[in-house]
Amino acid sequence: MEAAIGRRELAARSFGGYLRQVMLKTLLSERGWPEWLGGLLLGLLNVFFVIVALKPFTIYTGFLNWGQTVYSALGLASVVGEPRAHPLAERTSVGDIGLLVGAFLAALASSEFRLRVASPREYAEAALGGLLMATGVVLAFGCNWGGFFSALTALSAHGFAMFVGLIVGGYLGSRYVEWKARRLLERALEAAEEVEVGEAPAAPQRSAPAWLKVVAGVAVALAALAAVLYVSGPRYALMLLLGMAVGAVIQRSRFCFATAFRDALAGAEQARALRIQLGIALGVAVGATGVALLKMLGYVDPYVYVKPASVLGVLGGLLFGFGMVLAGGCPRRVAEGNTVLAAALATAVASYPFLIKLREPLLEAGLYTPVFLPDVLGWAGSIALIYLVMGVWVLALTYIAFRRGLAPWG
Amino acid sequence: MVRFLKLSENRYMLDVTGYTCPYPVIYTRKALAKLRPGDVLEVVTDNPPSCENVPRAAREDGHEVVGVERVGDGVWKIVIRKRG
Repeated sequence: MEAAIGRRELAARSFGGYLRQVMLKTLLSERGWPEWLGGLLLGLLNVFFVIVALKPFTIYTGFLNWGQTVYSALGLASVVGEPRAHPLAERTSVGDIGLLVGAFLAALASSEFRLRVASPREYAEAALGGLLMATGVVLAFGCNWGGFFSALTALSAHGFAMFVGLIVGGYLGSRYVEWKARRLLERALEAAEEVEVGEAPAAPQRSAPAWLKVVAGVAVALAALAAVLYVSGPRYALMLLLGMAVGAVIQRSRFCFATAFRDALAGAEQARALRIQLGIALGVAVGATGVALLKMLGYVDPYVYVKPASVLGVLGGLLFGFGMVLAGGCPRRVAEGNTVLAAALATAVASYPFLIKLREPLLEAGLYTPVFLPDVLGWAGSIALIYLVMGVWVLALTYIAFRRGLAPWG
Repeated sequence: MVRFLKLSENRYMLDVTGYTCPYPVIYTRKALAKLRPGDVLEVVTDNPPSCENVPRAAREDGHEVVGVERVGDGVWKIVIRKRG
């Protein structure tokens, strides 16, 4: 488990074999990539995505497209509306598909793909979590990507509202988790008293043969790429590839926004939450700088992805943050074979096309106003504000870690 | 459902497969608290981040991590000896 690569383990004769072993021990090891590196790469990928797609990387517009596509096929287009485009020709949807494919490939390559099942309670919680997440997205105009990460990189004030909400929702989530863990473990410990000494351990787990993983990975990647190329051309194929890179980075650096916000202030994995938060801060800083340049230079319309902001966005962030904890993480973990998160993804996709109808009355009531930060603070002021907020946030978390005697990098 | 089994007089198993973060860490901590010094706990998890988080948490609490073994695709067995 340690980073050090033992001399005996690296006894390859050829340089090719040596290189392969180094790669396995670093890129694909169970230690995962450092979170700061993950955040930095996600910030850069966000900028690249804007360059190719002329919009930041987001998630839920794709889910809307998927939901509308399925409902339309069922003859319900009159209720939820027709999808704007084919799922392989809609930018957010293509990015989402890429994210899932990329996370799947990364999980396969690092031998972490596995069909995971859990008790019925977990599925019920995940379904409820998916519903809360979709509701939060409606109120906050985006999820942890579109409503927060990409919102701030687009210099849109709605990102700050959700940021506050995520902190509160995540904290409430951590309280719920502690309560549930206490109850469930007490039951398990009581049951343990009745088990005979010498009970057989769990059946040994099997691994899929390497050739099968290679075939599955290559088949899925090529099928996705070919389908997107065929339906919508090379520009969309590039979006798919960028989405795949995002998925792989998130899987390998365990870049879990749920952990980051759940345990930011208190919780079982506070040290790791701090490391992910540092990654998020770096990613937002890099992304905001890059996207601001693209907007300043006129490469994209400055008002791209400037969404309506409101204090209601705080409530949205809260619901989303709590829902994310309830669901057990981010729905991309479906790509690791997690069936619990498949339930969360399914309810989010199924409910979002209906819930989004709530937006119209909210907007009509005048509760939201889009705020493009440079209109208020200028370009330099906007970037400075984002650096300042992210810097103060990470510093505050580091102070809490110091007071609690945590060693996040120890 | 989380399972806690007594394998022998001073060897226990905690099966947290199906649970994502932070449950494996919380359960491991709570289970270790119930054991006596010298007892061994085998934690079985299928949550990728936990194969690093659980040993880290155990070490932080002063226990000995005897080993972390990948027992199959996406499943790990973490063996911890409780220290007094």
